[in-house]
Amino acid sequence: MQFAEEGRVYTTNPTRKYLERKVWKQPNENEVKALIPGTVISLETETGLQVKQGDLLLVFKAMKMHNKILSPKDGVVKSINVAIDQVFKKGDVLVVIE
Amino acid sequence: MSLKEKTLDLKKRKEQVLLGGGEKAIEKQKKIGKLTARERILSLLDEGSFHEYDMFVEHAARDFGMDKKQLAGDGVITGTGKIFGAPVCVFAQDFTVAGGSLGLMHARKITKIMDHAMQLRVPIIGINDSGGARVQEGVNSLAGFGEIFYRNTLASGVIPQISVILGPCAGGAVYSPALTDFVFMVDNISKMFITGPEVIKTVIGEEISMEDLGGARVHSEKTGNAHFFAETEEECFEQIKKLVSYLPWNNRVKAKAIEPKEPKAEYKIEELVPVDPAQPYDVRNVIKSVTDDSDFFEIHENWAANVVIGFGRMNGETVGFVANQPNVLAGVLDCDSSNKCARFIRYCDAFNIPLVTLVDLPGYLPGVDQEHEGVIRHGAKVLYAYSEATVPKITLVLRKAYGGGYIAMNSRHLRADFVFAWPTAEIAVMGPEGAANIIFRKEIMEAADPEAMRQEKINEYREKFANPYVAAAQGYIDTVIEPEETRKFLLHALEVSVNKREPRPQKKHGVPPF
Repeated sequence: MQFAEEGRVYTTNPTRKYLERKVWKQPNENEVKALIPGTVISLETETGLQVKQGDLLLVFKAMKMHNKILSPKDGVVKSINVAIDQVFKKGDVLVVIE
Repeated sequence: MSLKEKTLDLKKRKEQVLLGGGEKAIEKQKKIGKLTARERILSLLDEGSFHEYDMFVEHAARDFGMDKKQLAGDGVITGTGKIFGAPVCVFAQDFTVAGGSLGLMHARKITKIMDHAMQLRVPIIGINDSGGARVQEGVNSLAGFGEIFYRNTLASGVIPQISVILGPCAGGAVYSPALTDFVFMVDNISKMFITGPEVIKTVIGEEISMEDLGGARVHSEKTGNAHFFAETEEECFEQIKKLVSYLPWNNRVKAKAIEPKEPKAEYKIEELVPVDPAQPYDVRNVIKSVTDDSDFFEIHENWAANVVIGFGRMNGETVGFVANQPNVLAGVLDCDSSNKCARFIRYCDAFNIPLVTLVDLPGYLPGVDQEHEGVIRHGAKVLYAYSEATVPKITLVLRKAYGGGYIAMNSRHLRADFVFAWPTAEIAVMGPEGAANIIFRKEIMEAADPEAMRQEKINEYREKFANPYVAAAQGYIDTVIEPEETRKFLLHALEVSVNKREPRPQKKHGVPPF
C-alpha cells in the first residue's frame, strides 16, 4: 500500500489490524447505546414522553447485576428499541431521545 | 551609573519581559478565554509566593532571520512558589511568545527548573500551552524535548509531577504530560494529540474536529490520558491545589496530616449497600461514610467509572482508595479500569500513601472485544501492582468477590495486611448461578424438572458457599465485621501498620505487563 505523510509517499505493507480497523464516525448524541450486552428487566419510560438528563430510562440485567440506563440529556423519547426480557448486544441502540 | 540608575535599568528590562508577546498577542489569547502564562502561575500559587528565574534568557535561533527577533524569556516562565504553604517548582509556556514554541533555551529553562525540583525534592507543575517544536531551531528543539522526557522519567516516583494542558499540546510535546503523574485539562481550551486532524485526513482520510480528536472531554472520558476535567481555568487551578494538599513533597516523606474529623452524619454506612447482590449503589458514598469529614477527592472521575480511585483522609492522613463501582458496568474489571487502578496503586506505593480497597465485583468483563484488546495483559497489571506495593494495604469485601476478581482486588494472597468482610460478602470461586450449573450439571440434567433442580442447587450453593465464612475459616480474611464498625477497623488497621516493612528480593526493576 501507499502511505502519504508530510508530502512524501511511502510504499509499505499494512497490518491486518490496520486494514480491519473501525473508521471513526461522529456519534449520534440522540442514541442511547448499550455499553455491555444484557437483558431488559423493566422499561421506565414511554415513547413520546418528556425526559430530563439523569431520568431513569430502563433497567437491565448483566454481569449478575441490575443496571440502570439514565437519560444522557433532556428531550423527548423518540423510540424504544427493546422490550422486556429482550437480550441485546454491546453497541445496540436501546433508546432514541430527541 | 549610580545604583539608582542601575536599578531603574533592571526594572526596565524586567518590564520588557513582563510584556510577553506584546499587547496584541495577549489580546488574542484572552479572546479565546485563556489566561496569560503569568496570570496562570499567579492564580495557582499562594499570593506573593511566586519567584521567577531566568527572565533574561535569550533564544538561540540563528537561522531564518530569527536572530533579529526578541522573544521574552524565550516563551516560558519558570520559578518557585508555594501551594497552601508547600513548596513547588513551576513552569508555564507562554503562547503569546512565538506560540510557546519550544526551542533550545526554552527547553533549558524547563529542564533547569526540573533539576531544581529534583534537588529540592519538591513537586513540579508544568503548564503546557505551545505550538510544539520551534521548527527554525531544528534538531535542537528535539533535543530539548528529549531532555525533558528523560528528566520526567528520572523524577517519576521521586517527586510528584503534575501537567496542566491549557492550550494545544501536540506531537512530541504530549509525551511529557504522559510521563507525569497527573494531567489536568479544561473544556474547549486544552487539546492533546500526536498527529492533528489535518495529518489524519491526508494520511488515512478520516475527518474529525480537533475537539473530537483530543479535547478535554475525549481525554477525560475515552482515553484516560487526562485525570481531571474542568469547565474553566479557575476550576482547574482549584483542583490542582486540592490535589497537592493530599500529596507528600517527595517519596521520602509522608503527606502532611491535618486535624482529624468524624465523617458527616448524612452518610449512614448501614443504609448505603443493598443486601441483594444484584442491586446497584454508588460506592463513593461508602468511601465518604468512612473518611474524615466525608471528604473524597476522585481521580479519573469520568474514565472507566466502573472502578473508583482517589484520595481521602483517615485520622488526618492521606489514604488512597480503590473501589469497584456497582453503579457502572456492574463494577467489573476490564481493560480500562485495570489500567486505571493499577497505575494509581503504583502511585500510592511510590509516595507512601496507604491503600484501602473496597471490593464488590462480579469479575472480569466477558466479551470478544475485551479479549482481543488484551484484557489478560491489562488485568494482570492490577495483580502486579497490588503484589508489588509495600505500603499498608487494607481490603474490605462489601459483597461479591468471585474468582479472578477476588484475587486481583488486593486479596490476602497478594499480601494484603488486613482483609475484612461484611456479613453480606460472598467470597467464592464464582457466583452461585454459574457454580451450580457446573458442579450439579448431571443432577440438573437428569432431574424430572431441571429448572426446579437448578434453582434448588443454586440456593444450596448460595447457602453453603456464598458467604464470608468459608474464606474466614481458612484465615484468608481476618474477620467479619458489622458495617457500623468499618471506620473503627480501618482506622485501627492504618494505625498499627504505620511502621510496616516488607523486604523484597534485590533486583534492578521488575518487568510489569505494560
